[in-house]
Amino acid sequence: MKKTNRRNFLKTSTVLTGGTMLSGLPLAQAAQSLVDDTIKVALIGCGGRGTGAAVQALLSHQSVRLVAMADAFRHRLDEAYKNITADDLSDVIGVEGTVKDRVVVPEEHKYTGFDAYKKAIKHADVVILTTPPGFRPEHFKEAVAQGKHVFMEKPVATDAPGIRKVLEAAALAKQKRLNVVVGLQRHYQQIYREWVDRLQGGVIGDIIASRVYWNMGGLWVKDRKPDTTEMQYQMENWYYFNWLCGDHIVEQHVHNLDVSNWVKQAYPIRAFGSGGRQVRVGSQYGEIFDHHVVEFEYADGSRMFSQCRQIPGTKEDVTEGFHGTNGLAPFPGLIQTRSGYSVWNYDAKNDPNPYQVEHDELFEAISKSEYKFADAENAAKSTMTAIMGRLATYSGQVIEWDAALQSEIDLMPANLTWDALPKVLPGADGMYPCAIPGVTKVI
Amino acid sequence: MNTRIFLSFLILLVVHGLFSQNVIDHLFIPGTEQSFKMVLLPGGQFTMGSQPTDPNRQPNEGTHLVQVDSFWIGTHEVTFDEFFCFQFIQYDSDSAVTQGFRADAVSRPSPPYFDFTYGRGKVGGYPAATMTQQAALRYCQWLSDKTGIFFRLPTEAEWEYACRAGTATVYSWGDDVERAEDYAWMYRNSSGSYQRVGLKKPNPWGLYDMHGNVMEWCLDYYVEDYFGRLDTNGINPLIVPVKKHSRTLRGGCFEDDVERLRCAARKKSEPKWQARDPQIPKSKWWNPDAPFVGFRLVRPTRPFSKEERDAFFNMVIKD
Repeated sequence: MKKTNRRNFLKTSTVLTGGTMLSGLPLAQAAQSLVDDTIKVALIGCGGRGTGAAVQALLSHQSVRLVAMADAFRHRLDEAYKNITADDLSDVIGVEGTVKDRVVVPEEHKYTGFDAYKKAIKHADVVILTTPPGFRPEHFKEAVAQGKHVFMEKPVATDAPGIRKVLEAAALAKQKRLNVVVGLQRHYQQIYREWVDRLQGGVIGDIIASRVYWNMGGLWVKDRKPDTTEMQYQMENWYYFNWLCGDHIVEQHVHNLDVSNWVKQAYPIRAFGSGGRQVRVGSQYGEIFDHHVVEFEYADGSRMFSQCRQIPGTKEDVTEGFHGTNGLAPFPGLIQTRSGYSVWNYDAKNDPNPYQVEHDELFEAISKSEYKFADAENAAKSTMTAIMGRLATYSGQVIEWDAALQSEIDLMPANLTWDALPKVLPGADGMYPCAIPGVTKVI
Repeated sequence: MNTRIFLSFLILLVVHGLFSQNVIDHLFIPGTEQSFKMVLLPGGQFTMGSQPTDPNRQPNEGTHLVQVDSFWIGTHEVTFDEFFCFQFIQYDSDSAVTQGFRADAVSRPSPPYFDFTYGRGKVGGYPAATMTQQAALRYCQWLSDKTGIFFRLPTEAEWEYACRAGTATVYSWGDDVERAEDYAWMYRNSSGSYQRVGLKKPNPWGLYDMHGNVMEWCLDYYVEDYFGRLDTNGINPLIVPVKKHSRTLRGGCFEDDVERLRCAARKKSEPKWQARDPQIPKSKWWNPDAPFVGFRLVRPTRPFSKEERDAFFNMVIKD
């Protein structure tokens, strides 16, 4: 992509494309664009979320082409390719239509295996990083090294060494003026933008307590297939292994923890808490807990009370709320005085889909050669917040931010091949070792 | 043992019911503590659609004489408590009226990534909500396989017949919107949430929450000109679905104003109900953006063989 060309192209073609862009019809535009001005995208990680992100990129109101794909597994890549090139994407677009005319991925640009990402990144202007989170630091580092803009999913790491790698790459991305959007999509959701803006502006005074929850039933589990190596099994059933997932406090709850950090414009300095696995016990559940309750402390002395749980049949609640010296923000979109009188109540019914907004804004900035998005540093620190919570519940100790961030405990396997062994392995009974508070060392 | 309990209740209540005005079945889901009630509606003819005198009449509500056979219908919307027996294998078992039912062979809803009801409540009598029509139909298929009784969603015609309960007015309680709060949860009294089923007054045939609370899946493919498409002389009409969208829903919901709760009001399913599902393909099971969608069971009076039932579900379930 040549930046000067794009700028010139946009100036001259505004009249031509302006009407269709304003109409919001995703399928009408792009037909007349020049090859040089097409934004080329590589998809790294071809699961359901990666497939969704790729289609959202192709539906952004710019001339975008998917040119390369990478996944550890060939069957996932094939499934994603089939779904992206489907004749009917009306489920996604809302009207009948397809994006297959924007998919130009020849067989030789479909890469599989652990090093596939490096090869796919080469072909692109923008890379979409949607593998399990454990790989994110290495993939992000490579994308920035190759000078690419990035959309990557949360969380951005599963351990402290990974976080440090992301922070370094984030700094380099800033230097290189590479746009980085992270799928903490609340930042691209109008109700949150408006709500957080008001809270940061002091509408309820100083925030003295945050309440953040991700309590739910539970997620998918993959059974071990015959004739698979331990590495293949952990990669397929990745949610239950910390080197890949980080535990659900990291993989899911990062969304809620991040909202508190966003409102506070700060990151916690320490955490302590409790957790365990009470219901979800079995070899198929790997090593992760089914509940965590953590109290985080910010430097100003305020607290964040956090709960996350994956236990079927229990009270579900996924939300954030804030208590200020001068009022309440009980849940997103609502602000009340101390006496409970609602002073602001946002109706989000007509808000655009934040998953689409992420891509619309990113690709618009890139098409205009603007440098607007540097999400990686915050994403790394919010992910670190979640990791600190996990270290607190796993150990039962008070965990300090600085010590946690400097931890040398590296969860990644020494070698990434299908025959190599991950660091956590099942015992004779098939059960994986699980953290024991009071015993387990985490830093 | 659970099989026996299921059958004895069935027989007892059917026999008992013959001597009362409403024939009511109290059915237990085999192997669980969950139960539900169905009422037998006699077949009949009625005028489907809205009257020209209805000020809120919509163009897709033209009137037509329609006839439906006798059928059983749930007195209440299906609850999450009941749906959980299907959703979670740990609440199900091999216990069944039929021979050879195996809980581990059932295809069950994928775990939703978060609580799509946004804390509106699940345990303790809340209507099962946020599921796709396919998911509602797969619940019917599971329950049919467990009991040997054919359960399905109502056709649009059956739904309106049941909702009207012999009336020809705008609502089953009459035309007076001032009485709506006695019968229905809607925008002005719901506080933005569905409520436990059966808290309001029933319609004349003993059916609760036909108006409001959650809108209810019907079997039909949605067409604007419903009456223009009927090729059965209005006898047991069904617009056979050809693809996933759009399907028909009836009854209005807690987010609607009262005129959307009219007996004749029609609603179609929309892809945007899955907007917050960031994955592709979209879930077969869940509509993250539709906490206002639920369903109610219907059971034809004639028995259906397993083969007939499977053929039916294969015809109507389109992912």
